[in-house]
Amino acid sequence: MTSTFSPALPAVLPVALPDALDRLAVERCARRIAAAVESVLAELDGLRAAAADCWSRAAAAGRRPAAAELAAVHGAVSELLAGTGSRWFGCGAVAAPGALADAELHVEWWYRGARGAGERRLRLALDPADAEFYDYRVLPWFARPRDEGRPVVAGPHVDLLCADRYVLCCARPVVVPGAGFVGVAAGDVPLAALERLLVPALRALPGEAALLDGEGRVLAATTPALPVGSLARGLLADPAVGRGAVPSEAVDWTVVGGRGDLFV
Amino acid sequence: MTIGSATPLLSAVLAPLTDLGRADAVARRITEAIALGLVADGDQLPSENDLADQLGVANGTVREALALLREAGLIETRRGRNGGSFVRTPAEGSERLQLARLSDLATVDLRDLGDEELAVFGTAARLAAERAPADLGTRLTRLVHELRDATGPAEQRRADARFHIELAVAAQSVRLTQLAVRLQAELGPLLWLPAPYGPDQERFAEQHREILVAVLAGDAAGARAAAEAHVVACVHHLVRRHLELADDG
Repeated sequence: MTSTFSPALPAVLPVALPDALDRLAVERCARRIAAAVESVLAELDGLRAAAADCWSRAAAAGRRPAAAELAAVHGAVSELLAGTGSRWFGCGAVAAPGALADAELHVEWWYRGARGAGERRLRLALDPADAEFYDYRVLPWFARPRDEGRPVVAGPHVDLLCADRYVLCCARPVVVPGAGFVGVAAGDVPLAALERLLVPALRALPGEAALLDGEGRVLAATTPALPVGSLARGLLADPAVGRGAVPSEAVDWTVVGGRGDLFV
Repeated sequence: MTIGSATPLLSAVLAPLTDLGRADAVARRITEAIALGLVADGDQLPSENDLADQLGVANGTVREALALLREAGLIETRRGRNGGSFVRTPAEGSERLQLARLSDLATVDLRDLGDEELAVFGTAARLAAERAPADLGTRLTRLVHELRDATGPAEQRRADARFHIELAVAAQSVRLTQLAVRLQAELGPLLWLPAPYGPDQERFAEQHREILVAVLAGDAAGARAAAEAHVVACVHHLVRRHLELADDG
């Protein structure tokens, strides 16, 4: 770890680091977390390109693709799910209303089976008349890429659809020339898998630290006093606690703490 | 609605059944027995036939379960006249394994394990306070002392697990007892690692004593509160150790 300040630092740091130095450390940590988020989203590149291809090919022929044509993303899905050390539990392409010729709504989604049992296709009730209608149009991982044209990491939430996992949903908009927004390429990552990227960044800070989402929910922490998934809204407004926004357009996350203990 | 068109809730309910075969279930039972110290290193498991009879499953299922356990290195099978399946859990090897497991688990997993324990142990303590049999004090006091005086992880684990399970038994609930067994099999080996990784055994024994005092006084709310505080202490310990191990690794 290099710091422009290091040559000037005394061999033994004073107990209270200067505020400016604290801020730099927290910001560096926030940047490291942003880089982790971006690298996870970048893994969706192939899936996004495969989905965009379906629409581009159809657009070139002056038509919209049929739902069955989206099966072409399966190769990219397999690559994500089966890759060594894959953090993805499920992924696929989800169509915007009206983007397909023969289906108002469509989810082309696959998830990992138990103990390497291969992939399973997710089947959903997409008929609004169904009592269990799965209306993804209002869910943040679909609505935000649609409305704001940017990638999003939504959650965490307990996923009832695929498995008993606590996941974050990462989604990127699929935009095709001539057709506009046609859907999202997305995948679920268990928060447990992401923790391996988040905690080391927090541990690099000299004091206790936590990563909170926009509503103050704990995504990762270096103290057992802040259990993952619990709400710690107070820390987002506490003047005594250092803070650094994670500089990524996909998340509304904040690193808090970094000096001393979070709770004294 | 037909079963064929899976809806979110229906797939959630069906998922565990489709994903966890009978062989996994059998393997899990035997793993629990090993983890709880009910069968020790070198012990011979009952024959395939006996296990199948006892568990009410086909011989093939038992064979599959034993293959899973062999793969996991928990048993070894010898052929010949004195052959059979033998438990293989040399203390050192399994402790190394548990350290690796604790380092691998995410804090969110530990938190969730604690949430389940909070539900099960908190409720067991509350119901035990309302339903405890007359002789509970004697038996559980002995287990509190056993934990306080235990030497080594195996004894600590056994005394701790038995206290938790006995409390569910005192609650008169078969389901809570089954959950307690499963949870202790999962938690115990992670928690009671050799020094310096294990928790403060005197403090844990003292917490058990406080729970027991509330239970015996018939104080349901107090028993639940003490049990929950104990679970929180346990999860804090695990998360702290996990973070330290992750740093070292």
